[in-house]
Parts: sequence; structure tokens; C-alpha cells
Amino acid sequence: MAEEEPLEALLRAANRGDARAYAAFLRAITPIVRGVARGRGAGLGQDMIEDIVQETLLAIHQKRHTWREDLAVRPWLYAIVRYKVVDAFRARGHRVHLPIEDFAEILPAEAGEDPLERRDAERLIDALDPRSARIVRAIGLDGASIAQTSAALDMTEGAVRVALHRALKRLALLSRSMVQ
Amino acid sequence: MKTEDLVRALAADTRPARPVALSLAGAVALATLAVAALALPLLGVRPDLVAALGRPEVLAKQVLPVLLALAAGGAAVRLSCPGMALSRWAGALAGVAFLLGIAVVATLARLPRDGWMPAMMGATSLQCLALITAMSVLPLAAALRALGSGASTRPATSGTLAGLLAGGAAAAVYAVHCTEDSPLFYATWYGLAILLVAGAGAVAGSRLLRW
Repeated sequence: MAEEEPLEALLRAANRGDARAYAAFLRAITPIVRGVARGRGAGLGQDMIEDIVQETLLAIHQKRHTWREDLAVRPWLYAIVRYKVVDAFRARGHRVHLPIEDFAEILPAEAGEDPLERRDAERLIDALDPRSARIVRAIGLDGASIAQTSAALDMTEGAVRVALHRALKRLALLSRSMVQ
Repeated sequence: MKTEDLVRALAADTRPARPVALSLAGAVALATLAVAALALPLLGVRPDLVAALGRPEVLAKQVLPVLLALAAGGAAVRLSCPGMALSRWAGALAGVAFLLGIAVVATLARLPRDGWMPAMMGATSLQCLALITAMSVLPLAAALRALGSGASTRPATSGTLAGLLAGGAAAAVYAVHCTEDSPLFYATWYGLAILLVAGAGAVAGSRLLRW
């Protein structure tokens, strides 16, 4: 199973365009990110924690090419998570100190019991232009493929890829600016 | 949107990105060439350039800014990868400062004490300061833009390095024109100009390089 592979192999394949390896990578690191956010933000609500997790995943996505293939993924990942989680808490008016050594002991955390239909993230998507919002919803929420989306929206696959890429970049920017 | 939905959307976006090192080198080289193409025809190249480069203090004036730019660029690329330490690039930067220090000390030892001040002040100090600073603007903008695709967890430091890179590049171009060859002169005025640009880079970086 792809999930059993080391993070390095997954991210290497992902950075070469392998979407399945990339999905496996993101699923493998999500509990790590959530564990850090939850460990540091004990007083915060479940949904705010999940917002911070999503903000961090968006940042990892935008910066995934800054990982150097000859190095281990974890130090890189922890440095990003540390930066983004501190940033996210600060933007929400909480000051946190994240000593980097602690990360080894962070317990991965699964999402809360309740499926989190986050109003904030919906608001983020609504801030996109209608076509970008439709593309993100189709692929993210409905699980459509690039090909299905391109057929449904009468766009070429290349145009869908470019639009998705831009929409996610915009989401990453919005997720920072909307809480600030 | 559930996190799992976000993961699905992210995974579908597999467009490749250019490594920071490539975009930084390309952008700064292009900006520096543009500045040289614009400034040198106006300022003029010193007539004895090739012969003068045989003198160690002139060679140092030409080469040290290039070394500074390379070291600062290397350090900035490293910083744009989260989790990497500066280590040997910080050493390279210190090495450039050390070489400059040797040139200065050798000059101080050679000149009589009352020759120090005139050598340092030269005749074109303000022009040098103003022109190197002005010629750094475009390379600095190019460097900051390229570094923006990286992920520095220390934006102000990255901005400072971008400033040293841009200042070094501009100083190397200006040195082709400048006939003030005393290390006391260029350590002071080139140095001051480059530090000004580094300061501007720190301020700009702390705003522009956050992510």
C-alpha cells in the first residue's frame, strides 16, 4: 500500500506529478499537523484547530518544492508546521512557543468525532471567483477527477489544472488574510 | 470543507514548481545585466580596466563583491528551504569579510597615518554611495521576488541576504567604472552602500517574505 511507504518516497513521486502518491503523503502528514495544532492549542475549539490544520496544509502545498530530495522529510515538515502553527495562533491573538525538539513526541491526532463542516473554509471558497469555487468543490468535496471536472465545466484539462492551481494559491493567501 | 476534501483538492494540483535556486540565479543575473547595460554606457568603463586588474587591490575590488553576492545568494537559497541551517554559507560570508579585512589592514600598514583619511575619503565617495545604492534596487526587487517562492522561516534574515546579494552585484558593476582603488575607500563606501541595501532588504523581506 502506498500509505506504508516512507514520506520521502511519497513526496518525491508527488513532486514529479504523481497525484496518488501526493494524496497518500498528505493523508500521512495530516495527523501529524493536527497533533501539533491540538497539542499547542488545548484551549481552542475543535473547529479552530481544524482551520489551522487546513491553513498549514495549504502552506505545505504551496511550498512542497522547497523540500530537497537528498534530505529527510520530517525536519523540513516540522519546520513548516512550526512556522505556520505559530503564525496561525498569532493571527488569532494567541502567543505560542513551539520548541522544535518536542515534535518527536507529538502524537498524531485523528479528526474529531463530528465531521467538521467548517463555515470558515466555506467562506474562503466563497471568496473565490465562481468558476474557481466550482472547481475546488467538484474536486475536493465531490471527489471528481480533473477529467470529469473539465467535461462538466466545458474546459480543457490543462485549463482546469491551471485554474485549480491558482485557486489553491488564492485560498492559501485568503486563509492568512481573513483571520488577520 | 472537511480536511479530507481539502486534501483531495490539493492532491489534484500536481503542477511542478521551479526550484528557488534557479529562479533566484536567473532573476538576479538578468536584473544585474539590465543595470549594467543601462549604467555602464552612461558612466563609462575605466580605460585601464584590464591592466588595473593585475593589481591585487583592484582585483579585490572587482572580485569581493561577486564573492559576497554568491555567498549571500547561496545562504538565501538555503534559508528558503525550511529546516536547513546556514552553516557553511555563513562561513563563506565571514570569509568575504575576512578577505576585505586583510586588504584594509595591509593598506593601513603600508600608508603613513596621515594618508589614511584622504585614501578613505577619495574624491567620489557620495557618488559611489548613491550609485551603488540606486543600482541595487532592481536586483533587490528581483531577488525578493524569486525568494518569495521559497519558504523562509526567517523572512528578515532572508531579506538581509537578498540585500547583500543585490548590493554585491551592483558594486561589482560599479567597480568596472570606478577608479578609486584604495581598499580604505571601497571598504568604506562600497561597504556602506551594500549595508544600506541589506537594511532595506531586511525591512522589505520581513513584510514580503512571510507566507
